[in-house]
Amino acid sequence: MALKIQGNILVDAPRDRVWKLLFDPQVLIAMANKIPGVEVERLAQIADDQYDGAATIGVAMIKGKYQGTITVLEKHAPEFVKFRGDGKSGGNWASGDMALTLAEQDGKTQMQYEGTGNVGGMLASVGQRLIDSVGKHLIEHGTRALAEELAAQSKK
Amino acid sequence: MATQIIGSTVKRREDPRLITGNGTYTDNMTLPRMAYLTILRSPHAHARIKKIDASKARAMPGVLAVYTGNDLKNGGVNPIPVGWVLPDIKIGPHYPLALDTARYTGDGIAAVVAIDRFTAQDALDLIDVDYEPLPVVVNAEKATQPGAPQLHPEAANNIAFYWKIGGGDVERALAEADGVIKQRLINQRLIPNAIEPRAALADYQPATGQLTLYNTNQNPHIIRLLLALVLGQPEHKLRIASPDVGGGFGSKIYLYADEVIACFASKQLGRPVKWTEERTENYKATIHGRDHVSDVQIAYKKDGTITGLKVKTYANQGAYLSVFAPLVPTFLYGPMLQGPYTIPNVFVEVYGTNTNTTPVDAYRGAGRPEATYLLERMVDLVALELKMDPADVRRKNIIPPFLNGVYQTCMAYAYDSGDYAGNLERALTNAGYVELRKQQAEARKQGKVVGIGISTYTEITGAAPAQVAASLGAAAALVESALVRVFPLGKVQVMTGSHAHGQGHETTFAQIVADQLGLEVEDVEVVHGDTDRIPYGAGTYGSRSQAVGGAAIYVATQRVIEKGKKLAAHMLEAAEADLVFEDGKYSVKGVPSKAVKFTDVALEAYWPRKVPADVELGLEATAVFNPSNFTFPDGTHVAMVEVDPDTGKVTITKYVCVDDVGKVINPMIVEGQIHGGIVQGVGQALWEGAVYDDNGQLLSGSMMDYALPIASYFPKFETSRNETPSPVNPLGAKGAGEAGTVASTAAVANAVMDALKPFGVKHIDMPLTSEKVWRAMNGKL
Repeated sequence: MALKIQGNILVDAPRDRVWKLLFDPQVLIAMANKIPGVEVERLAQIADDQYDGAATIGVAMIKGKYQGTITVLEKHAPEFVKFRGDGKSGGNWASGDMALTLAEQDGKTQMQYEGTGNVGGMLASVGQRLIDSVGKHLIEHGTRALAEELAAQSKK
Repeated sequence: MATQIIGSTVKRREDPRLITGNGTYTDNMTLPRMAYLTILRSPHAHARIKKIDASKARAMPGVLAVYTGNDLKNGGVNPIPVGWVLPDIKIGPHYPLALDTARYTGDGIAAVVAIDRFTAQDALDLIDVDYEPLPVVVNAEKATQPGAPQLHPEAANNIAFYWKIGGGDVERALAEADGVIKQRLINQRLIPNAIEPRAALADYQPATGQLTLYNTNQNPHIIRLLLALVLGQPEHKLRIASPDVGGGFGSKIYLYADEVIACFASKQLGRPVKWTEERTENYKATIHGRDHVSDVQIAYKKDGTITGLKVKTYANQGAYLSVFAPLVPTFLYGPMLQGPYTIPNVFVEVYGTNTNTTPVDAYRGAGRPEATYLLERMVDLVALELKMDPADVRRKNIIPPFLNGVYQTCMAYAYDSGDYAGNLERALTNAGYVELRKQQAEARKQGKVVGIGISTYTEITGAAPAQVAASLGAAAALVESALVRVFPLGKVQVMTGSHAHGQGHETTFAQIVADQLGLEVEDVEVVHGDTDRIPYGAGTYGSRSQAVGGAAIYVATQRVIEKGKKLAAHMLEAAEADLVFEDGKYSVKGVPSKAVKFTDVALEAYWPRKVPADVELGLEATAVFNPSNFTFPDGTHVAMVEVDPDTGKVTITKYVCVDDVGKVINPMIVEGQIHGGIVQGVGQALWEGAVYDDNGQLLSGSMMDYALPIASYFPKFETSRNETPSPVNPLGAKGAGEAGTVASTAAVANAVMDALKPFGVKHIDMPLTSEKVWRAMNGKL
């Protein structure tokens, strides 16, 4: 089943810094670990535009250990990037894409995100009542964590 | 005392065992050295399997084996066959585990056998499968369109079969009619939901080559036949034993992949292997029911006479053809579209199509609820168009009584006996129909949303007369055997192929024998569900058990009586022709004092004193019953509903029915079957529906997501019966297991549509959930 996400968040860091940090696996790991219910086991860059990783994701009854890849589909520095993620976990799979548009705003960065996700297997068949709210929970916490992490890192 | 046990309410003998938790179900069974099987199922509805890496799972402590589709195929396992073969059918092979393509979410990809259930479950997560997702189609009609994803190379455009049947000249009827109504009707997909999920325990003995499969099944002998073909296991070294079975509603008729894999694993490992289905697996890996999309045209005259019906149906078969799948939307559906009416021109064509969904097969009613719903909705649309009372349109078209003969329909079938018109009137009278209409008018004045629905039906049961099936082009026969064995002290064992899974056969079959032999019900033990103990059988489904299985028992009992008569003649020193058998005694005609008890004859049969040496001893008989025709129960159901104008919630306020299921063996059991049937049919009308998304993901995959009816949703049912004995079998039985389900869906759907009439709503598709009804009332569909 499909879910759609979109929103924007203000990051307290200049756009060039944000752009660079966005592709740093350490930033992504720190960000993900800030999301309640998410624990990253590993995340590594395996090619120019590709990351490989594993994480435990669990919200309410929807729990699983996922492994998957993140691929950069499109990139226009320093303002636009589109990722695709594919993950699987036992009898589940999840995939989705997310586009980020970065705009300068008084030395800070306005980050607009838009994406679609799809899940299958047990996640879809017993989780359909929850998946929308779980998805939103993950994205809300994720973007907030990303903004915090980017701001913190850029001050280092 | 003249015993009249047939037709009397005897309490179900199996219930003390079952309701005190002393039943034996397959999953209760444990054998020494038993291992546990789990199955990895595809999370994709359609995907190429690029690679399966099971090395980590194989290395896990406690794991005995991991099998893939190719392991099974290379081990000699054949695809699961289709048991009802239509002309020109296109069968995409159904291997127990997918070879290179997964075709629905639930398709088996790999199997793990481990020393305990937890290890077997955990090891599934260690199997790494590389899938390449393929385009998906879930809709039966879309599957046939150009460019649709193709499931099997064997079935072009995903059409597994095309079947048509007709009588009269429907095109002429449409051309000459006063009016024609066209309507698309969707009969949604349902999930059977037996309370006991499936289970299989395979026990192969390497020393003897004997394979025993304990399983949750409605027809062990058919499973033996199919399993012998799939595994290459010789049938004389193959035993299927189904202990207590906790419901099936059709879903436990078939040979499933899981059982085949358990048997294969047991043979490979030389130890017993058990598989137990989880509820979430049950939703995906056990068959679904219904799922028709139909375009209908009905032709009528101004006076309400229906002159023609033309139907085109897309019947979703799911990813593979299940064992009896092709039977359901053809023989059990198409020819039943004339229903209880005198419609002279009917034509139906059916496309059975493959889609990326769970296979569809017979589910309680199987074809007849689909036919009845379609026809009864159309009859109501005619009434609406002509501004006639729906009862009057039915009166205009209903078949007149044919109590002692047959009624030849315009299509293949000849109905066996019935008083359809009388039952319609009885139901309307019992419901107080005229008064209900007054109440409805009054309620509407008060702003209430109230509707009355009628469903008049005839259905087809008693499968299957081999000659009739063959004459219609099907290679299938479903006969039933019975062995009645009398022991020396006069107790009786009955072996029946009609294996019960909740129907009370241990009671009703014993009633038949006790009634005939003049014994008590307690003197008769009914044995079922074991191919090593029972000569042959085709099982319990299609409301066939009394009409075919009970008939076989009746015939075998008569043979026992005849055999006993030979012995009694010698004991009484009288001519056999002069003897009569009554009330458990053989006596000389006209000399009642010269008699010998049946139990004494039983002793003589094994400990002869008076019988000469050339007379055959023993007292048992076998009968195989091959009926001359199907049986056709009928009736009328009337429902009244009230709709909450604020929420759209439908409440059934009255439910009245009259059914003719033929001669009744046990009224209480029939009553129970009718009640359960009504509930299951109303489930489809108001709540149930399997939902797939466009990716072929089953979104209604648990009891939290799939709405099942519960007792508090219903009023008291006012049932009654009118018994017209069927001439097809010696018991006169027709069949009661599905009548309620066949009738009730349309009764309630028609009642809701009647309630919505003031809102200008002519038709909405089921399930008629609160949201859908509210939207219809508020013009927001």
